[in-house]
Formats: sequence, C-alpha cells, structure tokens
Amino acid sequence: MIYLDNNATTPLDPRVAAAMRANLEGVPAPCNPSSVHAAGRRARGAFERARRSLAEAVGAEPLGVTFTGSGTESINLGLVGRCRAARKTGAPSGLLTTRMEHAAVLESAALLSSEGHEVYWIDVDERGAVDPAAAAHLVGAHEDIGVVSVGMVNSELGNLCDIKSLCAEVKSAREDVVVHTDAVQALGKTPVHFEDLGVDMMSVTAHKVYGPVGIAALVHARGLEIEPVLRGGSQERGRRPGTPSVMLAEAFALAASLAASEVEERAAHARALRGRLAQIVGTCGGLVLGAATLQVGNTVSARFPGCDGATLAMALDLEGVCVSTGSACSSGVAKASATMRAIGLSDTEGQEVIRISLGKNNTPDELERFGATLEAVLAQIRRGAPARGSTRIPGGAA
Amino acid sequence: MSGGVDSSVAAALLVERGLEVVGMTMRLYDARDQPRRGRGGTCCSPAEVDLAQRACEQLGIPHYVVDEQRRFQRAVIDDFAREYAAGRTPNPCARCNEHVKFGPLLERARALGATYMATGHYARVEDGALLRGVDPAKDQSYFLFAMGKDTLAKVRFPLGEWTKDRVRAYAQERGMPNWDAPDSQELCFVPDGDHGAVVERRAEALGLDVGALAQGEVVDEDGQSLGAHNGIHRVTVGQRRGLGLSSPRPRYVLRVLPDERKVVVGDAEALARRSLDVEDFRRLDDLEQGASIRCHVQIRHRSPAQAATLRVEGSRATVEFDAPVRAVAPGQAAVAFAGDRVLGGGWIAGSR
Repeated sequence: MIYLDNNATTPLDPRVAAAMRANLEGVPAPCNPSSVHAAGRRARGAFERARRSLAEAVGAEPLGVTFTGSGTESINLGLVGRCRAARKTGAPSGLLTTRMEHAAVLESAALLSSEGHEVYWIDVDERGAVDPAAAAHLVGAHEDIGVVSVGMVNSELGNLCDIKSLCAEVKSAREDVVVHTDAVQALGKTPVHFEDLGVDMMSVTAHKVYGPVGIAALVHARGLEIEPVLRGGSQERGRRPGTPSVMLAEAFALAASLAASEVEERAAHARALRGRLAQIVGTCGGLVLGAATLQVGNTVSARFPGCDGATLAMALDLEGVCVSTGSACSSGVAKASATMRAIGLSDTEGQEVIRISLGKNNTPDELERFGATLEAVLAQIRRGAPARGSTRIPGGAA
Repeated sequence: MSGGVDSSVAAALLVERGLEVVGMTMRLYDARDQPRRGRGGTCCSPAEVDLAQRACEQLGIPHYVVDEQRRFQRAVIDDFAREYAAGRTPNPCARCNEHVKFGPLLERARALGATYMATGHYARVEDGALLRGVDPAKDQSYFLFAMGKDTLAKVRFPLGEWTKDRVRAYAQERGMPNWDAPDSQELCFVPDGDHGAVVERRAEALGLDVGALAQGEVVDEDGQSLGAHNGIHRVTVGQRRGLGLSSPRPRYVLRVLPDERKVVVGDAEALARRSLDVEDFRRLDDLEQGASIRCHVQIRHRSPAQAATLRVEGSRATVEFDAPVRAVAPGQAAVAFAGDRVLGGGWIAGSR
C-alpha cells in the first residue's frame, strides 16, 4: 500500500505506539485524574505532565491547554464557546472567518449564526490566499466582530497562511478581538508556536502528527473566558467536562514533542518529494491547484479535467494507492468541497479533484510507483475498459 | 449492492469462483431521515449501506459507495412524476436499470478496471441473449429489456439459475448479516407507498400543472359523473379499489384523461384490449423489420406473457394478442419473449 492521504490521518509513530503499549502492559491502574485517592493522584500527575509537555511543544502555557476529543471539538469549543461567553459579558460576539475553513469552523459559524451571532466572511483569492489587510479592514468596519478564525494550513490545498502577520494586523485594527487559528494541519509541517503567533486560541490534534485518533486540544490565552460546549463535570477547569484519557494525552504530548523537534527535517523531506509529485501529476494531465509559493510543502490537490475524482480515487485504491477526493458529501449529495468552491471551482470541476498528501514515511520510490499507477489508471478510465483486459479476471464469463 | 440478500449472495458466488470482485452501492436519494423499517426494507439508507459494507467485509472485498443522486432524480424520480401527471403509469425500475444502473454505474465499473458488472437480478445471460431467471416468482428479465446488446455483453447475473429459497439458505449457512432481510416490495424511493406524494413534491420544481393534480371527476363511459378522485396522478389503468365509488358491481379505471382531469371507469370487460402500440422499442434479438413474429408479450411485472404477434418498424412496434388482455397501462413496458428469451421491448403508448 502506498499511503498518500496524510492530511486525512497519519500512521502512528512507532515511538508513540511503544509508549502507548507500555501504558497498557500488565493490568493498567485505574486512571481517573479527578479521583482523590492514590490511583487518582498518580493519574493526575501523569495527565498534568502530558499537559506541560504538550504546552511546551506548541509554545503555550500549561494552563492554556484544554484537552478535547478531536480537532472538531476543539474548534467548536473555541468558536462557539468563546462567542457565547463574549455575548454573556456584552463583549463583541460576532465571528469573522473564511469560506475555505474546515467543516468544523463552517458548521460552528452556522450554529452561531442561528443563535443570532453575526458571521462575516473574508474573501479568498483563486489561489486560496487570505489577505490580512482585508481581515483587518473588516474587523475595523464591524464592531460586533469578537472572534476571527483563519486556518493556518488548508487541509485540501496545503496553503500556509501567515497567521502571525494576520493576527498582528487584525489586532492593530482592534485590540480586543480574539484570534483563533485552526492549526490542525499545520502542526508537524511548519513551526507552530502559540505565543510567537500571537493568537488567543489555537486548535491542534494528535492524529495528524503520528499520534492516536481521539485526542486533541484547544490552546488558549490563560484565563480566556470560554463557555463549555458540553455540559457535565468541572474537568479542564470547567471548559471541557468528561473524564479525560491520560494515555491519549500522554501519547499526544509525545507526538507533538517529536513534531516540534523534527519539524524542519519533516518539512524538508516533504518539500523535496512534493516537487517530484507535482511533476508527476502534471505529466499525467493534472492541473495542480493553489500556488507553489503558498505551499506548506506536503500537499498536491490536482484537477484532472473530464475525470471523476471519486472514480480516480477508487481506481487508485484498487491498485493499492490511498488518496482522497476534492468533493464533500454535504446533505447527502456529492458536490465540490467548500475550499474548492471558495477558490472558484464549479461543482463539476470540484468533483474532478483528488488530494495527494505526503508524510514523513513516504519515499521517492513510492512516488515513482505512484506515478506509474496513476498513468495506467487514468488510461484505463479514459478507455472505459480494464487496463489488463481479461487476464485480470480469469474465467470471467458466467 | 443494495444491502439486500440477493446482491450480497451474487457477490459471494463470484468470490467463490475465484474472481476479483469489487462491491459498489449507489446512493440514489437522501434516505438518511427515513426510519429503518425492518432489515432490508429500503435501499440507500445508512442501515442498508452498512449491510452492504458488512457483506463485503465478510467476503474480503473492497466496497465503495457511489453517489448517483442527481442522475436518479433526473432520470427516474422526475420521469416518474411527469408520467403520472400525464395520466400514464411509469416503470421506474426499468428506467433506473437503463439510465443509472446499466449506464453510468457500469461505466464506472469499467473505469475501475472491471471486465463485467454483476447484479443480484434474477435473469440469465447466455450466448449474448437475455433469458428469464429460473425462479418464476423472482424473474426480473421484464425490467432489463432496455439495455442494449452491447451492454448485455458486459453484465452478469449470478443468481439467474438460483431460486430465492436457495439464495436465502446459502446466505444463512454462511452467516451473512442480511440472510433473512425481507424482500423489497415497494419502490425504493417511495418507502411508504404513497407515490402520489412524490409526484406532488416534484410537481412545482418540474413546472407541471399543479392544478391538474387536484381532485376531478370519475365518470362512466357515457360521461355520467360517479364521484370524485384525489388526482389523476394517484390513478392507474386497471385499478379497482381506492376510487371511493359505491357501485353495486366492480368498476375499473379504463382511461385517464389528464386534460379534462377525468378518470373513466367501466366494467372489467371494457378493460380488454387486443392490440398495443409500443414506442422506443429495443431489440435484444435479430428481429426482421415489418415481419410478423410469433411470441409471448408481457405487459406487467409478475404477470404471465400472453401469446401474440409482434411487428417491429424502426423504433415502433405493434402487438396483436391472440386473446384479449386486461388493464393495459400506458407508460408500462411491453416485453416480447420467445420461450425464456427476451426478444426486445418498449413502452406502451396506446391500446385498442
């Protein structure tokens, strides 16, 4: 199998897997960090060590790390929780974001809108670039904007947004605005340092950095008022009720630490491969979307005109190559994803897109094999007939 | 693969034969909100997709869900609404087979490298001919006439030699999750059986005359008013019940007059027809132009084919039955058989 879908999820790092395995050896102790007894205290110690370690890996304070169950939950907590809290105190509680954010942002925006919060949109250009000046202008023009949310790396295009500049410009327009960035796709691909970015909230998740699925975090300014989205106990200083998973938090902290220490070499590895990947895709007639100058360095989204992306992804899968499509199944009907529409693609064009995303385990040899497979599969699709003819299904006649 | 037992067993038989098999399930309409009514009640719901996925997992083959909602809406549901609004009786299963299943889905299967596309239909393909399935209670060849000979060469029906009982027994023996799922009885996109509501829902979007779907008169053959009907789109030729008539003898729908919004009823004898005009006729066999061909013609699913003489002229055909047939509904398919072999078929335009 050639795995080229690292923006969807990454394989578990063996070092993280080993740590998790060690945690499960023998009969694991009861592990609820809220309990007052000895077992609870041990759990609490391990959990808070994980929090400190994650905070250090992303340049934040431990008290500004709230663990959640997923990146989606982290984004919901940040946007919905902050806007609701702002409204309670009479602070500006509207949201400013873009139309090419992850569904967690777009659907949080829809929820907030239905609750009467104003939602404003920053236009993106056809490369998928966000203009910080446009964001600052909107913040200056609309006093009810309380939160600005712009993704650091777009999951479909691999565009890197200069969040530090954007944050500075937005805050120079109005100091009291809270800036959130979805850094889920950025972690491990480019340096991510919360304090250096200057943002107030940041979402990160473990499974995009070779950690396990099921653990993520909202990183935020210490003491920032955020309403819990879930209702329950007082865990995570009341921001996120529910018994936390100590083992997953430890695994996330380790994965994030490895990402922080290895980010330069991982980025260099991906950039080197991406050049060749874009070349292969171009040779096969694919039109690479976005702009090379905006690339974080691991993603190629390409449109193959006249070729259905879902069919292409299935055909590649049958040959052992994992990629994803540029379409989303919203309200049950396949159409172009929000990002594809935001950069001006029609539904038909958006459905001709596949996304190929590289990770630290990919090799140059894999890319060459991918290239050969892509060429063969495209020829098969265009012919509308099996590439290997009847040899593929011996005795096919019923 | 609908998630039902037939397509799952069909896939299993191909796997058993050592073939490389890929499972595909079409999402044809948004069924997420429909309650699950027993197992296997409707296709396309998450529960059905899940059953298909489980069957494939058990067989160790890949499974994909493909979205054909737009095409299904256009080619099947909208056609269904237009036909009923025009006083005809559509055949959505045959339309789906022609315009969705054995069209775009087959194309996609070929693009994925498949030599053949197989389905769980009860029908047979032998030497390039389409034959009835051996289980007379389940035979579906009537719905399959519209695929051309070229298409026929690319499809396989592994259940053609099987009976439904044997299919269920096979599935049960192998612990397949859907072995006892009930047979689908209704149209997949009309799970509650209220096809009139489907027509009404689409009427406005399609620019159909919504007023024409309102109540109208039920009249006898002399034009005498006998009562009111709930809309011509809720009426089918040959229908007896549901007209709200209090007549001492049974009355049947003879004709639907969409322009006058009238439904004409009469005695059973008045339903009898000797000949049919058929349009958009497809040949699955070499049929000589203009020649009188002795065959059997079927005008409804699950109704026996009747002895007749068929004459094909281009894309039109006429059928003369040896003995009168009853309840010929315009819009339904007329399919000609020589024994078990499908000669061809088309859509009933009119009858005399």
